[in-house]
Amino acid sequence: MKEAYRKDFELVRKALKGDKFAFGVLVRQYQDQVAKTVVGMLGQTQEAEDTGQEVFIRFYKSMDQYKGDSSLGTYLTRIAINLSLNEIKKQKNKKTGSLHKIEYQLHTEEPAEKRDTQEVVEKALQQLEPDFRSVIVLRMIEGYSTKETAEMLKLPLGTVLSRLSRAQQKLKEILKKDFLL
Amino acid sequence: MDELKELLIRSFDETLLPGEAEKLEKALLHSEELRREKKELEDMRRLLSEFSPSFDSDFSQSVLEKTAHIDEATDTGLYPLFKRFALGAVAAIVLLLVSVYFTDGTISTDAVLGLTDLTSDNLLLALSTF
Repeated sequence: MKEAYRKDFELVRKALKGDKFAFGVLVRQYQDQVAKTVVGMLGQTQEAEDTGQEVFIRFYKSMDQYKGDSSLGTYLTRIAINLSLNEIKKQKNKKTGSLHKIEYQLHTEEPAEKRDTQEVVEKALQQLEPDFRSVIVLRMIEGYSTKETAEMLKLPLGTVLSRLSRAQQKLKEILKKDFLL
Repeated sequence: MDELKELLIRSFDETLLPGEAEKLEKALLHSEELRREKKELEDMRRLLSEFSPSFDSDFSQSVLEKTAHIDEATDTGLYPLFKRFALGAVAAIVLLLVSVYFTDGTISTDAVLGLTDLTSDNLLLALSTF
């Protein structure tokens, strides 16, 4: 087991023995990483918040399956991207229209300009098709390699590369309209 | 130009073939438009890498409360009742097997089903009853 994963694995072992504090440490440590994936996919919505919580609940229920052979962040991101794609499918089937938008109240200590930029990027992402959005979120927001992105989405590398290329072209046009480029 | 833009986008995420890389390099030297395109792509990638949303401040608290409910359900729901019932059933089976062993000296299927003492008369009697 890699040294970097050992600390998380120890916390998982403690949490499995009922140590609530250890599980709390894991949640606080990885909630921002999970937020990048679910908010990137679902926007700043109540559904994103609920999906984020569901990621940790799923992990809690199956913690014994985590053997520490991959990064816990990657493990959680995998759950997060799958649950987000499921949520999008669910919304599509319901045909209720849009997700329940909640006010942008993140990083309130940050300057308004930066908050605005975050909001514009979030809205731009929502204009991409979910298949394109998922590769952008994993590759460009989470920073995974194209190979890791392909593995997480269970797609051929070529498909990921072509989606990345098309998604970037579209995203660039959207951001240009918003004067961010 | 479209082909060069495509090469440019690809160059960020994959290793181009030597011929393609050379072509792109030359085009970047000579084309102002392509250089501008490259700058825009770099800016976009920077914007995306800086995208850092977070959940509500009570997010971790909510998760911990939900996990506490899961634990409560496991401790007080039907699961412990089922567990007690299952343990009782296992204990009864073990006792039954022990008593069969002491009575018949074996725990074969015949002994468990009470067939070891069954004579042909008993069998005929049982069949005639039906």
